Amino acid sequence: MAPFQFDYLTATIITLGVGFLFGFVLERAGFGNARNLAAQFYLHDMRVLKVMFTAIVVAMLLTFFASAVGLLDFSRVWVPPTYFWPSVLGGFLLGVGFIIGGYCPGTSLVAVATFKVDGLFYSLGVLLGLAIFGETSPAFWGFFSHAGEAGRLTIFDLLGVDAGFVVLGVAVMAVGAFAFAEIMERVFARPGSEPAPFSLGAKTARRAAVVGAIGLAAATLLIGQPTVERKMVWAREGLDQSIQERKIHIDPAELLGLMHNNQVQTVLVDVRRAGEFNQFHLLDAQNVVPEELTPAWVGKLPKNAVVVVMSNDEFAANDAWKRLAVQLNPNPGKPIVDASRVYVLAGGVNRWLDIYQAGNRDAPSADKAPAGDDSLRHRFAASLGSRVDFARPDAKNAPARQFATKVRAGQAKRQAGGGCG
Amino acid sequence: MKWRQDPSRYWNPYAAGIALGLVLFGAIFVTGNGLGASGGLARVVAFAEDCVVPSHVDANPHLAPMAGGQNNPLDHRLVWMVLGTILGGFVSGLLAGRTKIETCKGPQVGTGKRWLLAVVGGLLMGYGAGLARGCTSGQALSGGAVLSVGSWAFMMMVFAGGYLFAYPLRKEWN
Repeated sequence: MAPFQFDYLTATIITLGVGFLFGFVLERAGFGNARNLAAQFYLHDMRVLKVMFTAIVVAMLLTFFASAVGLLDFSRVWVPPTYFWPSVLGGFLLGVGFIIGGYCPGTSLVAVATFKVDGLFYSLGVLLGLAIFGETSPAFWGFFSHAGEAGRLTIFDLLGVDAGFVVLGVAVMAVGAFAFAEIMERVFARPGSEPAPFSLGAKTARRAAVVGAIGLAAATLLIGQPTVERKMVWAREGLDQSIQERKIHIDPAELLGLMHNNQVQTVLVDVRRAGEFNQFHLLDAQNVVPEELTPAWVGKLPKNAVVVVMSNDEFAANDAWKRLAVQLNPNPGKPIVDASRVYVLAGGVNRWLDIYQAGNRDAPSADKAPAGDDSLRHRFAASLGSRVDFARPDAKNAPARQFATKVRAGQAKRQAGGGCG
Repeated sequence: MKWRQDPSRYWNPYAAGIALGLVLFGAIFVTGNGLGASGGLARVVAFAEDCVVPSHVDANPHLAPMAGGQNNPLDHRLVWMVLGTILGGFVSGLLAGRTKIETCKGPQVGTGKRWLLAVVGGLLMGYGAGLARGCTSGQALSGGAVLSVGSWAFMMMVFAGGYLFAYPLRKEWN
């Protein structure tokens, strides 16, 4: 499922190619000339609005349609994080700079590439402005990094609706904005100048574009963005294979090592019933009902934390693992090769107790699935919780075990976003 | 009043918008990231400062993540995108016969004044792009297409700022 990951050279070539097409289209749109850009603000040639808004709508429609039908994993698409007040203030400054200077950073590159002297001066101004920002921003670093900070926040998350509603709304709004732009161009047309060339295209093409855009938006809304359950169905082969081949089951001794390792942040998720959890659980484990492992829960995880799921044996833990894997792993549809962000405690709490309570150091290795039916085999006279030493045995007193290390901390990172700025 | 050099050669704005949208979607689909321009330029600035005053760069919270210590600020995808954009713009301009040394300006403003205004506008734009963590490409286009709240607020403010100062500056462009 897209997006894909590439080695350094391929990624560089792709980015260079994307930049090439970007510059080419900007130049073709007339954005290499400041007068075409500034005209937007005098309403007689609204090509800036038309090009930008068309591009946004086309990319938005395709992105969310691809996400709805399972071609694109939207959770791995870079969404510029929201810092509301710096954005508002910066956007305003940028708008003022736009009307004074006549370009924006991207279009000024195209102006420079086509030897526009004003574009060169403008670009130098941009570099100077960025340098001044770098020098002055420490003075208001708190405002810059925290004013209206909301992380990855989309309009549909803010409204709490399916992305399709917003996609359809923006598409309808765009059609209205284009009609408005056409009227404005006629009202504010320059005396003696011919109407903007090719302004609106043929009537049939226009209708087809409107019907196509609204249709695609409506289809996106009807299908809906994928739920965790739908993602699990799409990825089931890879998930089942990873479980079958026991790629993601870690030995109790490996987990104990992680619990003692302060370089790796480990989140323990215990999916058993509350009664069993209260009788005994590993130190710092959190009791979570599998259905609560939603994107909201995943969103609160510490960055790069390793998650380890457990139940009494493994059935419930494997199911919970699937829920988390489709949300955390880069390619959940493919069997795990070497890196995952979420693991299962092999043999569950039962095997843990076999080793660390009963002292049976020869308990089966992580390659062996437990035979039990996922019920707690050990009996406790009282609800001990984690107030016992075997909830996190001291590393030097724990029975030594041979095991193959599976957790690769720091390697299973999801694609880091880049963005602009 | 003929103010375009060769209007017939520009693409229909809607066609150009569709083409730009396809490029943007292609970038999002294949790499997971949109477009960007000011990010690459910010790294050029960081590189220049790192050459002159490396210890100052290491102590600056804005510059250090890009150029602090052993970090090479130019080793970033957005720098390659800037190179690609310049190249693409050049090829398009060359094919259309629009590559000639000239200054784009309104009829009522002198060349020198236009250059000065270009520097001033660029400076404000650069400062704004730093503050907003992106420009029209990275925030408005790329963030707009993925429906980021901050990007849409940004976009509205760009138009607000432009329209607010359009009237006082009408002599520059018309």
